[in-house]
Amino acid sequence: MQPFEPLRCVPVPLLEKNVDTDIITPMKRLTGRNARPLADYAFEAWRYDTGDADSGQPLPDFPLNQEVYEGAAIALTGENFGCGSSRQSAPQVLHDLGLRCLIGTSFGDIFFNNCFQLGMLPVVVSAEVMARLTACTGAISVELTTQTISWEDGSVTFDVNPMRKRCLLEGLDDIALTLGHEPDIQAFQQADRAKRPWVYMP
Amino acid sequence: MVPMGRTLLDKVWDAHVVAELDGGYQLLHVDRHLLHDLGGAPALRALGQRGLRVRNPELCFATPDHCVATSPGRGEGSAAAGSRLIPALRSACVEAGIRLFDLGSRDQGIVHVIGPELGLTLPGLSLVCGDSHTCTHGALGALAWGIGTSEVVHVLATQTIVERKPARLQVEFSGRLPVRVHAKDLILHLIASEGVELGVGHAVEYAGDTVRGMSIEERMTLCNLSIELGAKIGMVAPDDVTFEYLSGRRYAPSGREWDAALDQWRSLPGDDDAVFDRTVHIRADGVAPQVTWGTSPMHGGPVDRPVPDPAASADPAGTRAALDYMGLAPGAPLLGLPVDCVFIGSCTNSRLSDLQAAADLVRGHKVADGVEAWVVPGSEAVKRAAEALGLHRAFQAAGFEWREPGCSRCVASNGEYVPPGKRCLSTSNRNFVGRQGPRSRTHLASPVTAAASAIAGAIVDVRHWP
Repeated sequence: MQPFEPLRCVPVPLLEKNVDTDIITPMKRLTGRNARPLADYAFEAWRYDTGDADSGQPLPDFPLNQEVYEGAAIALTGENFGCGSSRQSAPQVLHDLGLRCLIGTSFGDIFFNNCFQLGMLPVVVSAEVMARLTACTGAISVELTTQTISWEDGSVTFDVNPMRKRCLLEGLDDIALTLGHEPDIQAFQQADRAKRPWVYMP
Repeated sequence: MVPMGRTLLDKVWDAHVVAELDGGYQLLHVDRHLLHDLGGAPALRALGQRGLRVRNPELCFATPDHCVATSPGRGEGSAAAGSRLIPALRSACVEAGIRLFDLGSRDQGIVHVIGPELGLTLPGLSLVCGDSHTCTHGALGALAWGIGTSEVVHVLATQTIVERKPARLQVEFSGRLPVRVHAKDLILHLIASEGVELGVGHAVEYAGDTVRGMSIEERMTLCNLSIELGAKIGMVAPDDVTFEYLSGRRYAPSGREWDAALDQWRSLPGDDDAVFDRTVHIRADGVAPQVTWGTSPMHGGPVDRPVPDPAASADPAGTRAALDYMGLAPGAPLLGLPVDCVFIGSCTNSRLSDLQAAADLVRGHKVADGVEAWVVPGSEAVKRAAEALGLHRAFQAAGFEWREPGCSRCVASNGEYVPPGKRCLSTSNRNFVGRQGPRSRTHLASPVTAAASAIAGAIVDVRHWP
C-alpha cells in the first residue's frame, strides 16, 4: 500500500444518491473475460450510450468521460455512496482510475472499510460543506496530516479516525498491524476455549 | 453509578474483543469464516502471496454458490466463471485444510443457507464472509456481517477482524402479518418507508411480537435485507424457536456441551433496561404485499399502489431515471404489469418454507405463456426436503423449472442472466441497474407474489389470488 499523499485537483462529481457497487463494477465484468482493464467498465451502464463499454460510445455528460476530470484524485460523492454488495472491486476500480479520496455525506459501511484497505480516504462531511464543495468550480486540496479540505477562498477541517489516519499516512493495511497482536489472539483463544468449547471445532 | 443495560449486540460484541486498538477500533475474534467460490480462491492466493497461512482452518468453511450453474444436471464446466473458480477453490481448500461442501456433495448450497442449516451458525458467535448478505446469519443471534477481499485475507491470516462497534438501531415490529403477507413484504415495507440509509453505521436488532412469532427462516429473510437498509449487521435475540431450530444440527453442540451452550445463549438477549441509539416502530398488521418499481430496494411499496410521478416525488431526477430504466410511465399501475421472468430463489427466499408457500399457490395452475419461471432451492438439503414433500412436482406440473442450488439469477455471476430489457419478478434482494444482467429489469417481491404472478403472467395482488 502506498502512503497517502496530499492531493489537489478539480474533483469529479459522482453525486447520484445511493450509488451501489453493482453500478461501479458490474458482475458480468468480474466473472467474464474482459477485452480491456476493469476500470474501463466502471459505471458502464451510465458511462456509454449502449450501457456497454465494449460496444458503446462514451456519453459526454458523464463526468468520468470529461477531460477536465482526467486523472483526478478526488471525487465528490452522493449520499450512501458504495451501498450494496461487499465487492472490493468497486473501490479498486476507482483507485485504478486514479482516485484516492472520496468526499461525501455518507458511504456504504462495507465500502467505507474497503477503501482504507486500498489506501483510499473516504471523508464524511456535513451537507453544508458538501454544498460548498459542489459549488466550487476550481481545484480543491485534501491534506490528511492537517485533516483539511481547501479551495480557492476557503477551507474546512474534517474528522478521520486516528488509527485509519496513521495507517493511510504510513501505507499500512490492517494485516500488518494485527500480526503484531498474535500473543493477544493466542491468549483470547485459550481463555475462550474454556468458556465456549463448542466454538472451536475438532 | 448503575451500569447501563446492554443490548444483544453489546453482549455478543464484547465477548469477542481480543485487543483495544486506537480510535475506538477493536480487534475482534472471528468464530466462523465462510468462503465461497467468487472470492475464496483469490483471497487464499493473496494470502499465500504475502507469505502467510490460514491461522485457524478448522474455523473456516467453504462452498461454491455464486458461480455454479443451476441448470438441471449441471456440471462445473457449465458456468463460465465456475470452470475456473470452482477447481481453484477446491485445491486451495485442500491445501489450507479448509472444509469444503463441494459441488455434487449433499451439503452444497448458498453459503447463507447452509451455515444455519448445518448448525455452523450459532447464537453468540461472530461470523464473517466476503458477501454482504452475511447479515442473514444474525437471525440466530449471531454477530454476522459481510467483508471485502482484503478483510477476508486478514481473517484468514489472523482469525480476527478490525472493527468499531456500530450504533444500535432497534426495529420493533408489532402485530400480525395479514394472510399471504410475508417477512419479505415486512422488510421491503420498512425499507420503502425509512429509506436505504436508515441503517448506515448501525447494527439492527429486530424485535417485537411479530418477530417473536416468526420462524427462523422468516427471521433470516428479515435479517438478510439489513444491508439493503444500509446496516451490515442485523440480529434477532435467540429464544426457544432458535434453540429448537438448532437442536440436532450437525455442527451444533450436543450432549453436555449443548446444555452449557444453552445456558450461555439464554443470557444473550438484551437487558430490560438496554439502551438503543435509535428505535423505529412498525405495525405489521396493515402491511400489504410489496413490489419494487425502481432500481433501489427503497423504490417500493404496496403492490396496489401505482408507481410514483417523478414530479411529485422527493427525488425527481432519481425517480425519473429509475422509471426510465424500468420502462415504466409515471403513475403507471404495477398490478397487471406483464413479466417475462420469475425467479424464486436467493439467500433471501430459497428455503423450504418459501418454496412451500409458493408451491401451495401454483397447484392446479399453469405458468402463463411466454413466462420463464424458475425455482432455485437454496441448498441440496432444501432441495431434498422439498422433493420429499413433492414440491418439485407441483412446480414442474405448473411449468416452473426446478433447478439446482446456487445464487443463480440473484446476481448472475454464473452467467444466468435475465436477458436485456426483460422484466423479472424476483424473490432476491437487489433491483439495482444491471443486477440480474445488463439492462435487466428487476421487481422484488415475496415468494407467493412471485409464484402467483408467474401463473397470471403479470404482477398480481396475492391477497386476492384464488
